[in-house]
Amino acid sequence: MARLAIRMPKMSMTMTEGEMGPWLVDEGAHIESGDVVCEVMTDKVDMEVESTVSGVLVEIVAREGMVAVGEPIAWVEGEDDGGGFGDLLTGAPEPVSTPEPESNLAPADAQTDSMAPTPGEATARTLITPAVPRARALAAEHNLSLDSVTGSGPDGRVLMGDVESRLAPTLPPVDAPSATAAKPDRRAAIRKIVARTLEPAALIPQFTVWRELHLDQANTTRGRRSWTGVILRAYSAALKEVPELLTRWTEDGPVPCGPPAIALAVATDRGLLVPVFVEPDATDPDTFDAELRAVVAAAQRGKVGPDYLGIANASLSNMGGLGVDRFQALITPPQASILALGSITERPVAVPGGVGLALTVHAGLTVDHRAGDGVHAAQLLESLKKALDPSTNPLT
Amino acid sequence: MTQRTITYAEAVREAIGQAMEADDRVFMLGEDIGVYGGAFGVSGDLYHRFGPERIRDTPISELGIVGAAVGAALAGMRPIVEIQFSDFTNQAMDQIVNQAAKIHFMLGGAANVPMVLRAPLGSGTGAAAQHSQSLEAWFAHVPGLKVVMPATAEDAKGLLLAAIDDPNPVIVLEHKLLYRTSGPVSEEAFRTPLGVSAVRREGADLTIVATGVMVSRALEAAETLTQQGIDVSVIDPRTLTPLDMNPILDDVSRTGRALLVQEAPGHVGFTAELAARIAESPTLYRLLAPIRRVSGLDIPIPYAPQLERSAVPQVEGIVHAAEQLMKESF
Amino acid sequence: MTDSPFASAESAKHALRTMWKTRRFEEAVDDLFARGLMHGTMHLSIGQEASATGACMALRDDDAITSTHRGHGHCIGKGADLVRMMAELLAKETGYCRGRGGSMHIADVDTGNLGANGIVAGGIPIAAGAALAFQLRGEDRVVACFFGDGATNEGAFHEAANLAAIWKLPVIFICENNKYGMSFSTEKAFAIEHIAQRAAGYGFPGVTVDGNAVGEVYDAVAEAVARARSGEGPTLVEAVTYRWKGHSKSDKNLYRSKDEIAQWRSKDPIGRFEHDVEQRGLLTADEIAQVRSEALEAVRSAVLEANSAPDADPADLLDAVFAKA
Repeated sequence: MARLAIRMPKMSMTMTEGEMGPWLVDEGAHIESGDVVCEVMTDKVDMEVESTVSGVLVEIVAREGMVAVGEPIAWVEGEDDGGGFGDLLTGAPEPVSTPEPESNLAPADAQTDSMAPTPGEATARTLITPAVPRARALAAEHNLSLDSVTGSGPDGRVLMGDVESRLAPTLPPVDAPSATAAKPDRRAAIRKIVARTLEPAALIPQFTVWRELHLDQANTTRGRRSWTGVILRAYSAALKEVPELLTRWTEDGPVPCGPPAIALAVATDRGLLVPVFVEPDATDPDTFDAELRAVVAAAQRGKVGPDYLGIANASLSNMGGLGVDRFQALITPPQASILALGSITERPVAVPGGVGLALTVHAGLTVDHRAGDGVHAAQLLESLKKALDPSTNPLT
Repeated sequence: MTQRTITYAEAVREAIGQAMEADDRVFMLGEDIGVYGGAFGVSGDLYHRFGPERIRDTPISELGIVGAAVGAALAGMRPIVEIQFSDFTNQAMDQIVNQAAKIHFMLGGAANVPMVLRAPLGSGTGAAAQHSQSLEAWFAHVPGLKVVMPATAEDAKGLLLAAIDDPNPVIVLEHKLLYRTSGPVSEEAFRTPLGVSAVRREGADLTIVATGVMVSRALEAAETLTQQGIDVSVIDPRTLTPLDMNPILDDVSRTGRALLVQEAPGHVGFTAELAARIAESPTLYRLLAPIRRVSGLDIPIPYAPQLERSAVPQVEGIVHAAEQLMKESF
Repeated sequence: MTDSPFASAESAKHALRTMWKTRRFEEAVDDLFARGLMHGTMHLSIGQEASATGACMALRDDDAITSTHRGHGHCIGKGADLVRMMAELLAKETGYCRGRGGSMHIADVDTGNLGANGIVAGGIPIAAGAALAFQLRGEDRVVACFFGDGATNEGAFHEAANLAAIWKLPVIFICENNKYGMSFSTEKAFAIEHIAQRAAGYGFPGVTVDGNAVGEVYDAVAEAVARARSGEGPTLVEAVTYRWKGHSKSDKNLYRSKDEIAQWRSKDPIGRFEHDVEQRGLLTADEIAQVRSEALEAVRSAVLEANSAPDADPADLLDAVFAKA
């Protein structure tokens, strides 16, 4: 004789527990295997429970409430005919573990960018510059060639930020209405662009070198030409004398990046546009002045022609018109230098024997220390001074 | 390898004959494949060469004969079962989908079903709705089935010989309109590996991917487009499962424009899978314009010739779609 | 084993042991499932042991079978390993199908079991095809194709039966008529009295036997096997039997009366055979008891051993779809 369990049976594939219903036999009754002993309410329907053992029903364990599948609901004293196979699996019943199915692995589409397009190659079957579609659209909208944008995504992918910063890399505007004229949501977008562009600057080791430049002589020769044009040309000439600062910093060190290409920020209703002037000192002053005015005017209308969409290697920033004496601009990566000018105004200066007045401007030159050292910065400012002085530079 | 020009149907026949000569385990069963020579003339004189046991005519019992192929394959033979119209695979779906496709997996790898099911598919013969379908996406969607759509006579032979060698069930879908087309085919018993896409034409402006009879229509469209200064690639996947995306992704990465063509109705078709795979890959970032598809209308194939024609892509439709795509950009 | 269950003490023991192993195996499955220890659903053949055992005893080791969703008895009859069967049901890596097939897809290709089938009548054309393969290769092997009464109304049965008839395939169609196709009784499903009558429609012999008499089943199948082996083609053997439990684990038995069930239980095929062999002096009561406990022990140890194996491993699922060349 043995004590045999009648257990809550699993009566459907999904059932995990059943609610006890009425017992149809009572303690003390003789029951045979197959007799219906009670009813159970399952997740689907009411079911009759048959005893799996024969003998005397000695104890009813569960009369009401929920009972988990496999738990005893009653005990029977009877002959053990070997039917208790579940007892063999001792301890907590081995739950049949449902292992995690393998995630749907996409096939390895190996698409390595082994052949980046070389600028200037005319073969039509080269790999297309990868770009996020929105970025591609944005660039096209502004007639910006993707080849002129450095992609910061995987495999050189051009991201939205790359195009946006290419369209608006530097901070304050030049001789133009301030960006606060833009609508609030546009303002937020502009701030985000600026943030995205300049946050990398925080990691670049940079320093600023100051010089107060005397402009009286340059003033007499410029006539009605704008200061912006004069200084752009002088900066360009000075950069040519310090080739260390005509480089772009890469993982492998500084890479020469061609003739001076100076970015000039222009504020527009829709944000900053930054035309880039390549070798302005190669053009005569009058022609360049006219060109500059035309480009700035067009930029203020939201248009920058393809000739001014090159990659800059230096920037000019002018806060003079806003009454600022001097300021220190941040490097716009990947450029090696940026020239920041305060207001051009009469200031007291030392003259032989005393104090006099001169037209000066405080120039702050910020340099990427990876590309150049203090001596290079000093040299650039010295060259800039000479370039602005007609006695040393007849072309000024 | 000596090549000569034969028809697609002759190429299929040659493959079967060479396979049967080389391996006693290979035999074919199907309706009207014996003295009749096959509904599309494919089996031809095979009956006279190999006899009624190995070129075995059957009653009209698609479920029975496909099941028999499953059983014979399980028991060590290499059967080819010809279903007269691919539409009739519906009679046999239990044996194709529930049995053949799943036995290797369900049995934990303990058994294989090395069988080939060949069937003509597609429209253009006026056979109307129940005899003109392109159901390749159904089969491609079932794990455990390999699916090929040879588009040339050479591939019809090479892919079939490879399919017969394959230890898995392979569905070979032959477009009806291709049977009478000709092409260069090597005399030897060569195998064209399954799972390798073919670049039929290389171009710079736009990539067309096409299957079945759409491959030749795409090539025709390519000629017309060349005259308009549009230079297109045409890629033929040939095998739907397992699918070789690499040549397709590489080409689209260079043209920036993908035009996916199928005869079957567009909704939930094979080109939807191609489009998803392109969009899920890094090639997405090299697209210059959205991915576009040219498919059959979502209708049963109509009877009247002009209606039948308008129900599936034609050369001019492919040309037009390519022109439109060239004008599109993000 | 090709001797009749009544031929000798040895064959009697074999028959009894096989039937008890089947009974105990099914009871174990029943119990484990009821306790939530087994996944999915099960189709038990308790009460039908004689038809599976008797038929399989008439086959050679190199003959093949196809089976059904209610196929544990066929598997055991054809010599399957209880541990591997139980491991499959317990979703273990060591199961016949590495846990990928479950109860309805158990196969043991090495012992000629081409597989149970989850589709009613799914295995019938497959059996015809395997028989065709044997015929094409000139082998004298046969295929025993098991199916139920419900399957004979599926198109696949008709197509395969006809193919077997016209090609004289070496296949024995064994219909285990347990009076119900799930809940639909044979009285309602057929306009004929005996399923065996259908064979005439295809042009081959059909015979009805008492499926609960293991000797009768053996005799009918052995005769059909001889026909098939000598190239005379197929036979339909209808074995009338009864299943004690519902169709599956979700079956509430609403379609049949308790009296009917009780009546058939009293005609337990195993009890009947034990009585017969004792009467004929083939086995003593002690020997019978010995066989019973051997069978019980075999199943109990199979449960323990199977359960101790590692669970089915999902690591190579994607690789498991296609066979490598």
